Amino acid sequence: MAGFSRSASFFLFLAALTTAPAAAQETVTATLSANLGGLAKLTLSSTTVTFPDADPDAFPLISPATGPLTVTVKARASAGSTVRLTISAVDDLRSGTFIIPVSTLTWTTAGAGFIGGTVSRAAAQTLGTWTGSGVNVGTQTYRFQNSWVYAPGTYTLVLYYTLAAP
Amino acid sequence: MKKAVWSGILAVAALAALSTPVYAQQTANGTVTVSVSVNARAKLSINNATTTAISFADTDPDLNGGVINANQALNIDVKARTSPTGSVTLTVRADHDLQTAGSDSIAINNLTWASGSGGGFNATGTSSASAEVPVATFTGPGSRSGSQSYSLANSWNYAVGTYAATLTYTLTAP
Repeated sequence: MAGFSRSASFFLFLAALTTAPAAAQETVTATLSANLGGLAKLTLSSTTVTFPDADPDAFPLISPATGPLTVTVKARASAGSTVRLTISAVDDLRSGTFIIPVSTLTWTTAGAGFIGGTVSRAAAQTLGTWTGSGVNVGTQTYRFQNSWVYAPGTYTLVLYYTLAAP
Repeated sequence: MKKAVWSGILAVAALAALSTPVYAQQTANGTVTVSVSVNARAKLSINNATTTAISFADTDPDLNGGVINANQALNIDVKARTSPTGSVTLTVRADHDLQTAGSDSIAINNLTWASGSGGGFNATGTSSASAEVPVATFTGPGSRSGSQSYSLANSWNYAVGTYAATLTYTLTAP
């Protein structure tokens, strides 16, 4: 019994040596907060589109000498929301007092979310829609409807692109 | 007091946890300037060609009111780009009288025409080798079409032969 008692004491002593003292337990929670606000960025490969003169019979639709526009849309928006890129015009094509209706400008597109359309003075026209955040790249090619009824001149027009990310 | 403070903290925490972030709509803008060149142009086609021919069959001068009608009418397409007030004119002129390979001739003013078009085309006209004769006059740009039917005054006085002349049409758009 005395031997057992010595063995037990020795074991308890070893246990005491090999066991770390129990510390007071404490839980610390660090809350990470990243405030990601909405962002919208629009990049156009060119700010000019130029159409050359052409015979209306041979070229009823004129392609721009400047080629297609590359449109890059970057948006950070709330999940499920619609990101929309629109084009608007506040005037017709104008050369001095001569006017060509802006509806003679149409466009085709390539790229996910981009859609074709016709320029309008009455309302902004949609060039593309996407859902949620992301980067979308596409091309837009304008066409000008040629005609014999236009008076000679150099006609200009400013088109306004608006990207909205809610 | 202590309870009230804890209640306030919990209320704020709950509000923060349950609320949805609200962001103002973000927009980005760009502009593209479109430029279109429209030059002055004029295009004329007769029977869808740049050259065509009409002929008059030999006929008894006492028949058909002494007039020979050409074998076909001329369908004239005039296209012009000019200012809205610009005057577009189409004229015709013969190179000479109707002539045979020899020395016989028929005065070119025996060749007349009637237009069935209106809309800027003169109703009638008489050919000339000495001056441009107006066929049609328009104002401003656009496409117009008309027809012209030639007739030749027949006569017992004409010498036998095959007569020819060339009519040159000129479209002018300032």
